[in-house]
Amino acid sequence: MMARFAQLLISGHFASGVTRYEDHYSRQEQFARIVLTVTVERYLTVRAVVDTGAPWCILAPETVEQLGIMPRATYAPDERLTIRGISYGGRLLRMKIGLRAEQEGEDCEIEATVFVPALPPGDTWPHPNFIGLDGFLNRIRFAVDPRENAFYFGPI
Amino acid sequence: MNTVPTADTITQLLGAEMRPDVVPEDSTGRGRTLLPDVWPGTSSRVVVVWPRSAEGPRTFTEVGDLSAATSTWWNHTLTEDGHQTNIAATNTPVMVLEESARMGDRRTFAALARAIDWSTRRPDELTATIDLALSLEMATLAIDLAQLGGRLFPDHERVQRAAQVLAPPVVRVVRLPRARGLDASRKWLREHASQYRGQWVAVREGQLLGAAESLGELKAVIGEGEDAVSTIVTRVL
Repeated sequence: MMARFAQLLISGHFASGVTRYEDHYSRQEQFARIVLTVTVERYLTVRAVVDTGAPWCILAPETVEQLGIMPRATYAPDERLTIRGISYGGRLLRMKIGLRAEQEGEDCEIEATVFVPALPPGDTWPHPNFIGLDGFLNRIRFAVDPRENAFYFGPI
Repeated sequence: MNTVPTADTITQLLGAEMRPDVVPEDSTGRGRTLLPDVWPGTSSRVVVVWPRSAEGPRTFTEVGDLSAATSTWWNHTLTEDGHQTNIAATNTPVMVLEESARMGDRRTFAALARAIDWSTRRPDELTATIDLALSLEMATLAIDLAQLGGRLFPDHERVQRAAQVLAPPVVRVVRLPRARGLDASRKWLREHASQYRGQWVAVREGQLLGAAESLGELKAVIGEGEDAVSTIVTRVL
C-alpha cells in the first residue's frame, strides 16, 4: 500500500523512498522508538533504532565480528567513546548501510561511520543497533509519518 | 619567563596571577594547588607557559599564535633523599587540549583545535586531538580534523585511516538486492520475540530459522545473497 505522502514527498524530490518502521523495540514496549530495518554491506538485514542524540551509528560487535563482515576502513581511537553514559573502547568503521524503499520509491545506500564497541570476552552488547546523527542522518533528508509508521528518506 | 598553573576552569587560568617559577620545598596537598605548593608524590602537572611579553588577561581564542603557548611537564616525587623534580619543557599545545578535554570544556577545546596550525604539528598530535574530539562526542570537529589531516599528512598511515573512516557520509540512490517478506518477519518478531530473550534470532519471511546464544551459530542458516538480505537478524534484549 502506498504511503499517504509518498506522491507529495517523492514527486517533490524531498525523498527518494519510503519504508515502514516499528514504533517499539522488542521487549521495550514502554519506550516509543523509530526502529528501521536496514541492510549492512548488502549482506545482512538488521534492526536499528533512530537516535538523533547519537553522533555515530552503532552496531553490535557480534554483528561484525561473528559474521565476518569486512569494513571498508577501520580506525581505532585511543580514547573511549561514551554510549548512553557508559564509556566503551572500540573501533570506528566505514560501512554501507542501506535503506530499502519497501513501500514506494528507490532505495538509498549511505556509506557511513559506524562505531563497533569492544567488549570483554563473554560480554554481550546490551543495547540495540543505532542510526546516529553526524555519521548518517544529517546527510539525508528524512521525515516521519507516525500515523502510518512511514519513514521517508532521500539524499540531500 | 613566567608560569601559570593549569586550573580547573579556563576562567581561573585566564584570570590567574602570573607567578614566579619556584620549585616548592614543602607539601600542601594535591589538586588545584598552585605550582609553588605542589604535593610531593603528585604524579604530574601540566603548566602553561606564556612569553613574558604577554600582559594582562587573555583568552585562548585571542591568542593569534598558539605555538606561543608552551606546555611544561612537571613530575614531583618524594624520595628517601627528599624531593626530586623532573621538568620537561615541550612546545605541545596538544597537552593544553588534553587539559581542556579532561575538564570537559568543549568550547575551549574546539577553539584550540581549530586555531592550531596543524601543518606545523606532528601527525600523531593531530590523531590524539581527533581521539579527544571523539571522546567528547564532537563528531563534526573530529570529521573536520580528520579531513584536514588527510590533506596535510598523505603518507601517515593512521591519519589516512582516520580520514577514510571519518569522512562525511556518502549517500547514493541505488537498487539494493531484493528482500522477501520483511513485513512478515517484523510481525513474527512482535508476536514471538519475547520467548527468546537474551538470544539471537534469525527470521525469514515470517518464519524462525534459528535461535542461539551466539550469532556465529546462526551463520549457516542466514545463508547468502537474497536469502541473507531477506533474513532479519536481531538479538532479543
